[in-house]
Amino acid sequence: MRVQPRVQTGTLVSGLGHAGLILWVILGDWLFASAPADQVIVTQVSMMTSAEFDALQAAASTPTPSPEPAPKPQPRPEPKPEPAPAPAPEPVVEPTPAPEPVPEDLPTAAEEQLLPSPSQEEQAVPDAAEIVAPVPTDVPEDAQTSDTPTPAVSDQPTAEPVVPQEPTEATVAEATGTVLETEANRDQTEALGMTASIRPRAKPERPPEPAPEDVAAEVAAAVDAPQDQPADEPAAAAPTEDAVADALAEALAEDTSDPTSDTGGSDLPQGPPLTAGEVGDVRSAIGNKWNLGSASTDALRTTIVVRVSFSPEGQPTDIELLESDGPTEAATSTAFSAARRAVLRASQDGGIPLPADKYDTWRVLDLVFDPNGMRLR
Amino acid sequence: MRSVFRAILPVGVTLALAVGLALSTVAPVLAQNAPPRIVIGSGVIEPMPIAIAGFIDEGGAGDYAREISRVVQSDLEGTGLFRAIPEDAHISRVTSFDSTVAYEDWKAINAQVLVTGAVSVSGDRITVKFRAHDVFNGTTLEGAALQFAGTTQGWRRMAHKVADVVYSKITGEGGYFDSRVVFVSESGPKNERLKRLAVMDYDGANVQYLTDSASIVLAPRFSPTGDRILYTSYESGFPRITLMDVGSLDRRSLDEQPGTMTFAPRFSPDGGTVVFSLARGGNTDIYALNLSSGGLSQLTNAPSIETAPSFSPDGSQIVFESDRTGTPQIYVMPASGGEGQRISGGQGRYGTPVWSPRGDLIAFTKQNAGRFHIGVMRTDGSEERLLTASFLDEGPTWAPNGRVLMFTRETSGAGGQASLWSVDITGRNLKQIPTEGPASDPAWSPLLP
Repeated sequence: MRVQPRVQTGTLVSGLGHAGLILWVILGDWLFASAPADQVIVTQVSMMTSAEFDALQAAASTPTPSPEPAPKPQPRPEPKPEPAPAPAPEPVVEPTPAPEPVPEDLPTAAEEQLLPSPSQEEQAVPDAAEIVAPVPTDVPEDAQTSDTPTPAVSDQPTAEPVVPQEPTEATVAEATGTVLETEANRDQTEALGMTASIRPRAKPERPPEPAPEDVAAEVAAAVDAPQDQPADEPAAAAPTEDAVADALAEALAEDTSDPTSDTGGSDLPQGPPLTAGEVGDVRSAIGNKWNLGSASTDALRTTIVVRVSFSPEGQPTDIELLESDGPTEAATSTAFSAARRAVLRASQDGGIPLPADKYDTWRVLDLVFDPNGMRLR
Repeated sequence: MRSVFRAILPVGVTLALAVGLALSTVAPVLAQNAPPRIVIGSGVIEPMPIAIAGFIDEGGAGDYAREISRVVQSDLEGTGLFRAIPEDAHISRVTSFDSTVAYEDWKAINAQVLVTGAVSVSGDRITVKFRAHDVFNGTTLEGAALQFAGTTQGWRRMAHKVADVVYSKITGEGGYFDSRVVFVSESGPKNERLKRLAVMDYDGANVQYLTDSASIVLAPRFSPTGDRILYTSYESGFPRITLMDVGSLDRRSLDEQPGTMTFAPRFSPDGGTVVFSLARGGNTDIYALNLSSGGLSQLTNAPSIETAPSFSPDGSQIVFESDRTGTPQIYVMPASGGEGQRISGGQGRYGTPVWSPRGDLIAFTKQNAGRFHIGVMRTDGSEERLLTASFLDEGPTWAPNGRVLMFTRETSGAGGQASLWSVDITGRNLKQIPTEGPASDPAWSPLLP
């Protein structure tokens, strides 16, 4: 019979289906585990009244220390004088890459300043500051210009003697010049409090530069300095090393161009230098006795250098005229008389304040009497 | 190439070491190669204290000795440059002209210069000798030990000469005490003032009248030798230049051209020429008259007023006043004439320029902002300085040494009077010259022989 095979096929399919279902039921949870369910979190809440809620809202409207958003770039405000800024909090030290070396000549800000950090937010384009043209100034019509630049600093060294200024504790009294008061300018000088000269001071004339022959002679004299001045003696030079000898001679020449170096060595100071305070004391003591009230108008234009030798007690033993720069011989004589009188009077009226422990220094002094600041033209 | 470097390298190293050694050892020593140099740039300007010991009577001098020492002291103190220490403060007494000077005693009273002297009289002859001592130097001032002799009538001149020498030796400038001043002596009410010429010592003593009050006289000027005087006289009814011999008082008018007026005369430095203003047809120009030949030459030719000429000491230039720009200003022209170059540049009106005997300054009168000034400027017009200021100052005249100016000062008001004043060119020592009455138009003589 032909019907029996068809039943067997249906039974097989049904059996396989039921077997698969039975296996899925048995093994399904093991093979396909489901995600665990969320854990329920339990919190406690409290109830509040509407009044309490309003109060809470009101408190929330005040500024809070919450970080501010990055400031938008604004036109730089006008600097205003402000009191000293409060000390800024110390910045948090963070490992940052070493900064690049900054040239020392670049200007640096006085204080550390915060730079505005770039914001990712879309920001409005800042309004450009209004460009204000500088107020034009009236140029004087008679102003004159020059096509050739004027050097700001003279390239010629001054020939004027320079007194070395050394730090000192002592304060030298400020010298006050004499202001010429006439009947015609009495009101003016009274109004000025007699603090300013009514005329500009005349610039002292620069002494003429020594002729090349004189310089050469001074160099030669320096090279041939006495043997008791070992420092003046050139270092021993081998006959074959002319370059060394030339360099020495050049170095000597540069340092012996001082016109005051022709002292022959006998008056060289040996002790420690006078301090600025000591120099000021000497200047004040002698200046107070330097009376030009009876000097001629020519003498008031005469600058002289007087060499004074002193005894260990500070008494002048010799006063000689060393240099002079004046219009006439009579004026020089008058100026020298006034200077000598000043030294003698100063030594007798209280003495010249010279430090005893530096006698080797002030055994001989060159005093420059320069009346240009007092001149009455 | 390497061999060259090997040869040069030792020399270069040696050279560098040698130079460094030289600079390090030589420079510090050379920096001390002269004694310390200290600049004294500020002194004091005050009268120098001096002592005038009473002059000693060495026989017959009587009051002359006392009076001469008084005049010497007055001369020196009158300059404003000296302060005489009162005699009762003297510690030492000079009893003999040749006795040793106790310098310590004079130092003790801070006398910087001591003047000692002696006077003797025999008949009408008087002898004055003196010494000026530098007290702090303990020596006699060089050239300040002299003796003068003359008649007793000239005792004041001898005192002035003593003072001139002392002044000159201390200041380095020439003296001016032995000189005279000619001026216009005034009397009567202001609207009817009588004027006559007078001459006096520089200090107002010994006044002598040269003219009477019959006619107005103006602007007298001494000749370079002091023996003649030029002035403007209204004796003819018009201003005329008149030349007077001081010794004989003889006088004559110069350049009497009809229809002209002449005024503002002044001698040339050699005394042979007179420059003056001549007004003709309403125009005033400067002319020069040769006193020997009588030749007249016109120096300026402008429609403006040119007047007040004054020679430079070397006679090469003339400074004068002109209003060609509308206001009176000061100009300088060659002595031969010309347009001249203006030198006054300030505001105001300038006039009566006078060249200094030294040649370095020009004194002038300036009117500005309602006040008058006496001032000085350089001969190129620079460095103008006003020395005085008042209601009316005018007409400066130089002392023989070019250090002092004398001028006229007039007070305001109906009762205002003119007087003579002097001032140092520094602007100090402004003082009135004593005169018997009102006085104006001073002119200083040269130093007397």
